[in-house]
Amino acid sequence: MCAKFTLFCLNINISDEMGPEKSGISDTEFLPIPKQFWHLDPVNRSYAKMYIADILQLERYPTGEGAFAYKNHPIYRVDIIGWLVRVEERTSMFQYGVDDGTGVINCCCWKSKKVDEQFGIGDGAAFSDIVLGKVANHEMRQSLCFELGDVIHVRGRLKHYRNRLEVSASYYRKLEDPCCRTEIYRMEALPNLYENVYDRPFVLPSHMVKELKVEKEAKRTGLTREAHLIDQLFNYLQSHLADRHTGIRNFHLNELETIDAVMTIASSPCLEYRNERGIGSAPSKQIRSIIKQAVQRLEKDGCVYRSGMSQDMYEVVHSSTSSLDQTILEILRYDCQLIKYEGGCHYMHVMDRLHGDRDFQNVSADTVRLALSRLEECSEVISATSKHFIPVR
Amino acid sequence: MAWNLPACGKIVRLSELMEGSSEVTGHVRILARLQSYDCIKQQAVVCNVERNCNHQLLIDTRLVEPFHARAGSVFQFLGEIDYGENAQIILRARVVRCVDGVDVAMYNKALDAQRRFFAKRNMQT
Repeated sequence: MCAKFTLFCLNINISDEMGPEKSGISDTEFLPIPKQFWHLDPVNRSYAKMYIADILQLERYPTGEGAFAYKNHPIYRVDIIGWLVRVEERTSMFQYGVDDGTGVINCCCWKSKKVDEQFGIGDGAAFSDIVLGKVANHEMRQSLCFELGDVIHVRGRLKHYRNRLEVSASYYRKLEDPCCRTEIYRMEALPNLYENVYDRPFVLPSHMVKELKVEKEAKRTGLTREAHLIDQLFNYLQSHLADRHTGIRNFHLNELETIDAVMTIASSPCLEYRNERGIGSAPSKQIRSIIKQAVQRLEKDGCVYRSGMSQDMYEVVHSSTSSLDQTILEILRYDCQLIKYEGGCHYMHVMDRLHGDRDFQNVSADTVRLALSRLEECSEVISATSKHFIPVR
Repeated sequence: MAWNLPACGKIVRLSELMEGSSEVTGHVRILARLQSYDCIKQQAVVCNVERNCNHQLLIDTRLVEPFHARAGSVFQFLGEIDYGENAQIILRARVVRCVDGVDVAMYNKALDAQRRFFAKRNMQT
């Protein structure tokens, strides 16, 4: 991911420098977008219905391979309707020249191999079967072999071949359209399509642009991102709390600040708090926020849960012998004897019951689910559905 | 070579071609009603599909023989504009297609829409 972002950062640099020199706003709107974001464009990998004149003028997309650029839309495939103005048969394909009134493009229409296989002559085939097979084969070929003046509909991939663009067809059919309805419809539809889709610039969502700017800033200043620090702290705390030798059963948020390793991570220079940072040490706001977010992730992961005693007090879950798991088990054993909960207790019900206990009044649903799955791993409970649980004993 | 593609046939109206309001040269595609066909000379005469004006155009059908002509039918011709004796316009047709039953009003509307779009785009650039 990092390498990809680097690529984009370079692009931004280039475009920033080029920006003032190029005249007009339209140029900056149609900046090429790096390949990893192409999936955000609705035009990407769709069969673009375009004028042949425009297709012929497409150029390779500067920031990615395989696609062609119309404005800054990546175009892989096209959908064209036009007159057949040239036919050339090769052994494995037909080369059709298609004219839609704006340009002529070559379409490679590959002959189907299935046609031959389908009516292959078997050993024990009767003579009539062979003849019928040949007739069908011939008809099939005729249906795919067109004449000048037919209106054909071609869909396919764009390819560069000997410095010219051509369409390698994945679908091609003759349109049975004596009144030109489809053609007229296409002529009317294209200007609308262009106005509403293809001529609109492909812009990335604003949050993405913002994120990329921050990423670029991080690269320039060499500072660490907040998210990265939280990751580090989360990993450290997870292993630290799981370690039985440390023997931490519960902790207050402020207590964590007394651990050196935690402080080292939390007070490293961070991009998000760069402007507020005084000379020397990191601001307390940064440390608190990073620790808090790391602990919230621990809570979401089910490693800790909020204690009932104080707001910022957390209980550490060590194993299935912890008081949380035992309490859940007791609740299940008691409630599942009731007729209402014969089929198992919903985990939300378990959470409601836990909230009735002073010690567990702040336990979150995630914690309960994780505790239940832990109990299931120890064969203490069975899941009746994905959300209902029954105790074993 | 694989690349001897013919030039594209610009879609024009018969009236535009005959009145010479815009300089039309090269390859064109027209929609017209067949008036008469001479299979010996291999020439056809076509007129407007619209009723309000009456232009006649000579079509050279040598390249599209056998031409299944039926007087009164509507055809689309694709070919090159050429000038014969007395500077008479001849269309050397290379592709022909019978389009009886075409909705001429819709066809003209669609053609106008397409032209408007291209004109607008050329203005912007």
